[in-house]
Amino acid sequence: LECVIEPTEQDELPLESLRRRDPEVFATLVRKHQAIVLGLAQAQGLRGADLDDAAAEVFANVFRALPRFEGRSALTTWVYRIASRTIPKARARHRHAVGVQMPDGLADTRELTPSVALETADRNRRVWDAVARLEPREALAIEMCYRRGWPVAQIAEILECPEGTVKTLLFRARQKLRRSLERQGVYGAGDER
Amino acid sequence: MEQAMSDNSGDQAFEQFLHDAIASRPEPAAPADLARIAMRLAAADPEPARETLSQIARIDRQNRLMGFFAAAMIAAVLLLGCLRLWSHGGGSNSATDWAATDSLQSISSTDASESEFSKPMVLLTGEALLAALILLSVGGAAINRSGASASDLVFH
Repeated sequence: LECVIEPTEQDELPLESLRRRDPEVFATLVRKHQAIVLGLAQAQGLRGADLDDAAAEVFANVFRALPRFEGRSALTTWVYRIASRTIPKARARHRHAVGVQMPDGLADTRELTPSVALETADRNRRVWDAVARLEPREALAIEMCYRRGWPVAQIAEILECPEGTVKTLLFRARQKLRRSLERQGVYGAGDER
Repeated sequence: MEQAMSDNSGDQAFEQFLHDAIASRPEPAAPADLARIAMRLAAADPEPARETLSQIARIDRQNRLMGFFAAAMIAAVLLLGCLRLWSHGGGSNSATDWAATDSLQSISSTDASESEFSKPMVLLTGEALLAALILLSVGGAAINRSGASASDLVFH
């Protein structure tokens, strides 16, 4: 499965106001990016208050660094780059709490029979759990590729590494996930369609 | 060939499975007023000063340790050179002694007076070069470490 190339949302926030750390503009920036930042932290297995703390820490780092933002890269890339540096540190601090929390709203399984829906929900939870147990950069790459559908080039820019490294990270992560899921009986020969 | 095709289709099935499972994960709810929380956090600790200082201190310690090792290595090499000079230049002046004590020196010179002076000098120069190379590589490693650590502190 190729990562789907989607046009990235271009940032239209005024650069000067951002550098001045205008609270209104900063609040807009946070609103625009909070879902993805939280998703990146969630993929690392952070949950509850730890998840919120990690997101707050990311945006605090963004706020601190705004006067130094030179606009050499897209604001989106810059924010996620800070997130990809900050979140693994937060994860290391909350290592004991890493795990998967069953979200309030489970995956959409309305069209499935109750038993199949339950099975699917459990299977998905195990996949998320396996992702959370990957190395931080592998989990980030998986999240960006499979959930966000970002191209390898964009992921490489965010993770500050060559595209080949991202491909290697994804390959290694897939291998680990496959082994782990096969061991748990979540994925096997019967699933190969 | 069939095996490869089967592996490939298996990989694609797994990719699809992974994609479906990961994409189905609901987005977490954002905390209310995340921007204000972040601004308050940034104001409480304008720069992660403690972390920055501890990183700088660690880099400094590493550099000092490497510098110490490099200095010790150079001193050892120079001491060895001096000892050789002393034993070959000052102690025994014969060219045969020189050849016997240093297996690296296989050049047999007919001109004893020339070898007494030039061979130890060549050795010493070689050792100094070796020491310089060690120093350079150790220094380079220290600089690389400092650079990598320092880059962690700056968000471009």
